[in-house]
Amino acid sequence: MSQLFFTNVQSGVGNPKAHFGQEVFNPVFVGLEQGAFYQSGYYNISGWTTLGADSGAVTISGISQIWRHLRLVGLFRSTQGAVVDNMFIWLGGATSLYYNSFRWHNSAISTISGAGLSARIAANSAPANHFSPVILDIFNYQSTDVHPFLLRAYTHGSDTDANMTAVMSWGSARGAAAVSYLQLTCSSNIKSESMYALYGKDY
Amino acid sequence: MATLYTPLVDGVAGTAAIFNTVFQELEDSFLANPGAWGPITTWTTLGSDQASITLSGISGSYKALLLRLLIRSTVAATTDTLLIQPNADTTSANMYTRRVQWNTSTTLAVQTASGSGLDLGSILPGASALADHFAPIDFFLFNYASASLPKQFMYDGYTHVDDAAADMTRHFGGGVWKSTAAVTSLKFLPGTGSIATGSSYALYRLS
Repeated sequence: MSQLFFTNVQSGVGNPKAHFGQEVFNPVFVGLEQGAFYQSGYYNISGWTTLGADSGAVTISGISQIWRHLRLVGLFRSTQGAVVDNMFIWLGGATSLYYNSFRWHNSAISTISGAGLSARIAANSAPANHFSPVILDIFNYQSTDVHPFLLRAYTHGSDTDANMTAVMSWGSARGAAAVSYLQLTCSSNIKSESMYALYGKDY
Repeated sequence: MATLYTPLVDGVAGTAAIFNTVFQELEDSFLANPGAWGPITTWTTLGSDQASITLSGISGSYKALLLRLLIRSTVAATTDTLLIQPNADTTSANMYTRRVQWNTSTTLAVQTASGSGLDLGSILPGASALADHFAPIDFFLFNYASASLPKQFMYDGYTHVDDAAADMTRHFGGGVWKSTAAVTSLKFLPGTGSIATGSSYALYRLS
């Protein structure tokens, strides 16, 4: 790992820390700092972002390759003129990746291939202020081969049975590149006040 | 910045100041970056049966909550339902849950739009289930600190009543607590029995 926040002890005349061997103490300090992060297991990479305006796409870019797994957590809503909409999540924004997943959508099960990861989210005709929670775990995102994933979501399109949807899907995205950014799109815009954060997990 | 560690006292001229500088930097970084997911309560195991448990005084400083349970009911049956009441609310019109349950004999997708709590269905092993088998449950609550928005939740769980495939049930789902009040407490309880001795729980934060 990982991200370091303390100033490394360095050798050099005039540096008060130089009285001690950097090779001895720095590993100790690194260990202490890592230990603090391990207590939570997740590091917030992006901070929580709330959209101030409707957005055609949300892109989280520049994802450092220092983590072992990624977790995207968010609340989303679409401006599409319908009760619900599909939001697609592209790993690396690469439509060339081959997505292969098994989806459990209420009592229906299906296999999906070739499209980005999809999560059904509330749209313009859903009850006001109802955003859809989504949790996406991406494993081995540094791999240049296979990225297994697990996606969970809930959609409250209306107060009736047909439009309350729980989804769990899992599978893999295959491609020739590590995941350095994520792109989210839906049929229309992702609605303002949608919010999300990307976490890194170190073990 | 705070100084929570015990500063070194000089033994040899200059050494304490050197180490304390680094310790202070480490402590400052921990406090500024405390980790995005962490415990609000300690992991607690019940020493006796409890009718319900209420976690109160929840700070509004976080983005979401995770209630993690390893739990069982005392009901004289194989399973019991689990109810979760934000702010101890029992208003039926506020409770919407979509439950999905699956084992080899049943695939069930049920909407519940009423009740005295957010109803996670028959997820708790009862007294007739195998001894010492507790249900692991993760319950995520979003927007809990908002005073203007409804609160969405999602959950995952598993129930092991006995070793037959038809009695090993996977659960997941979600829903909405329709109130716009900020959530400052979470109460959970079985629909019929009590929470059995040995059940355990903790509340976590997402920042």
